[in-house]
Amino acid sequence: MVEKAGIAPQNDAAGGRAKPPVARRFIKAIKNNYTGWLFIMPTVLGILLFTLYPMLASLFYSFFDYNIVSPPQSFGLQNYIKPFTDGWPEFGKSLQVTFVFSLISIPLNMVLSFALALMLNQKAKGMRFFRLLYYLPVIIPGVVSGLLWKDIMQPSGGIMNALFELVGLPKSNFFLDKNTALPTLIFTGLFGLGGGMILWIAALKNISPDLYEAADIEGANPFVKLFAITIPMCSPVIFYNLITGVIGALQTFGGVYVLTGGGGGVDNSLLFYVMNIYNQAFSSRLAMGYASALSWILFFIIGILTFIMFKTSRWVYYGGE
Amino acid sequence: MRELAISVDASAIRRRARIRKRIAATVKYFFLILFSLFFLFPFFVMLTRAVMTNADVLHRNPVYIFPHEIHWQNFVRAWDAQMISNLVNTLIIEACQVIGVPFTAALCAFGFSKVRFRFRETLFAFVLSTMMLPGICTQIPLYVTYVKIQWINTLLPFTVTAFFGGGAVNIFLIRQFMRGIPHEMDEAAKIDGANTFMIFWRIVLPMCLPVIVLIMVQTFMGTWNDFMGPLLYLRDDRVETLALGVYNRFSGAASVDSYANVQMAVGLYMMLPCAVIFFIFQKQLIDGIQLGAVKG
Repeated sequence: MVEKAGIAPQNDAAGGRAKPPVARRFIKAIKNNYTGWLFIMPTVLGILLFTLYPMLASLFYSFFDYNIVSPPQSFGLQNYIKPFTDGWPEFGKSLQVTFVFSLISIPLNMVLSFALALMLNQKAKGMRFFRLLYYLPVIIPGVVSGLLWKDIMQPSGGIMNALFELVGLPKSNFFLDKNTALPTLIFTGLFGLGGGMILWIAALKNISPDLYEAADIEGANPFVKLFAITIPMCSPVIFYNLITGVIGALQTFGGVYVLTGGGGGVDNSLLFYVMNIYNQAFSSRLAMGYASALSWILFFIIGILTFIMFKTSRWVYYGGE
Repeated sequence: MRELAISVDASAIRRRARIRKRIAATVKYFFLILFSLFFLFPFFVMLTRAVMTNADVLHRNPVYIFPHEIHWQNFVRAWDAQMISNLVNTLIIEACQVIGVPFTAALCAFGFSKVRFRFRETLFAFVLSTMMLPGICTQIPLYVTYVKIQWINTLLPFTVTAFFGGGAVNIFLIRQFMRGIPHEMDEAAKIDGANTFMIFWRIVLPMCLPVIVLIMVQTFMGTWNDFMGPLLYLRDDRVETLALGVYNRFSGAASVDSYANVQMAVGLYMMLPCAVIFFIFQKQLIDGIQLGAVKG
C-alpha cells in the first residue's frame, strides 16, 4: 500500500505484464487514497472546524453589528470604515504603538542577539555554559515575567529605581509614564535575546570554514570577513528571524496584558493592536463585528508585509540550490 | 614582520603573542561575565524577593535589594487551595496536549510522507498555509462558537482541540524526519503482512522518537505558558489554569498575600517545571529550535 499508487503503473509497463482490470485499479486507487486521507483526517478536520470555519465566520461577522446576544444586524462596511472615523483615536494609537515597537525592537533584538552569537560562537572554554546561561531568561513563563517586571519597575519601591539611585540616575516612572512605557517594554524584551542568539549560532556553525580560510589567504580583515562572508551566509536566518519577528511583534498581547492589567496603559501608551481588538470584543460592548473587522485588517497588514518581504528577498543567499 | 623576527629572538615574540592572547581572553571573559550578570538579573530578583519578609519587601528609602533574613514562609503562603485547583486543571490540559498534539501531527506527517494519495501536495500546502494565520482572527469567532456550544468555562477548548490539528510547524518537522527513514524499512514490514497503521505505529513512529520528544517538550512549555486562550475561554476560577490563575490572583486589590514576596514565590513554583524540563531536554530543545530555523 505504501508508496505504491504512483509506482505501480510504471512497474507494470516496464515488466510488460497485463494491466489489472480498470475496475480493480479504480478500487485499489480509492483504497490507497482512503488510507492516506484517514491519516491526515484529524488535522484536516481540525483545520476546517477550528481554523477555516472561524476565519469565514469572522469575515461574515465583520460586515455586521454583532454582540453574540442578538443575531447579526445591519449588513454593511461600517466596521471597516469605523477604524478610520469614530474608532481612529484607538485604532490609530494602536497602529502607532505596534509599529513603533516593531520598528525598534525587531532590528535591535536582531543586531544584539547576532553580536552575542558572534561572541559565543568562538572556540573557547565555557562557551556552552555561557550560551545556556544567556538563554535561561527565555524559559520564564510570560505571566511570571510580567509580574516580575511590573514589580522591578515600580516607580517607588521597585528595584530598578533603587539601582538607578545607586548609580546616580534620576528616578523614572517606567511603565506608568506615557513617554517611558514603550522604551521600558523594549528594554525588558532584551532579556529574551538568548532565543535569537541560539538561532544565529546554528547559522554560524553552518558556514563552511573553507570560506574563512580562503579569506585569510587573501588577507581579509575581520570586518571584511563579517560583511563579505558571515552576514551573507546567515541571510536565510536573517530572513527567517525578520518574518517571524514581524508576525510575532504585530501580535504582541499576553505579556503586555499582564503589565497593564488589560488596558492600554497610561494614555494608551501600551495599546497594542491585538489589545485593542481584545478590548473591543470583550469589553461591555461586545463589539464582535468590529473586532472581527480589526482582525481582518491585521491579517491584511501581515499578509502585505510578508508579501513585500518575500518579494524583496533577493538579498537572501540560499547556497548552491 | 620578517625584519622584526631577525632582530628580536623568537621566544620574545612568542611571549608577546602569549601576553596579547591573554589580554584578549581576559577582556572577552570580562564581557561574558558582565552579560551573564545581566541575564541572571531577573532570577536574582525573583530569588531575593521570594525570601523577603513582608516588612523587607515593602521597605522604602532605601528599597532593599538583599533580604535581611531568609524567610521560607512565602513558599508555604504561595501554595494555597486555588493554586492546587489551577494545577490540576493545567495538568489535565497538559496530558491531552502532550499526547494529542504529537500523535495527531505524527499521523498527519506519516500520511504526507509515507502514503501516496490524491491531492497530497495540495492538502499539504493547505495545512502549511495555516501557519501564517494570526491567532486573533480565529479566536473571536471561536469564542462565539464556544459560547453557543457551551464550551466556555470548561476545559474542552483545550482538551478536545489537542486531538485535532497538531500544528503546521510540528507536522512539517516530523515529515522532514520521516522522509529520512528509508523505504526498505516499511517495505519489509509490509511483506511481513503489517497494515499501514501497524507500519506507522510499530516502525516509523518509534524511529521518530527524537523529534516526537522535542514536540512533546515544546507543547508542554507552550501549554504551560498559554495565557490568551485561558483568558478568553475560562472565566471562572474553578476552571482556570495556572497561568491565568497566577495573573488573576495578583491583579486584584493588594493584600497581605499579594505582596511581591508571595508573587515571586508563586512565580518560582510556576517556573520550576519549565526549568527542570529545560535542563533535562536542553540538547533536544536547542537542536530543535535550530532545526526549525535552518531548515525552514
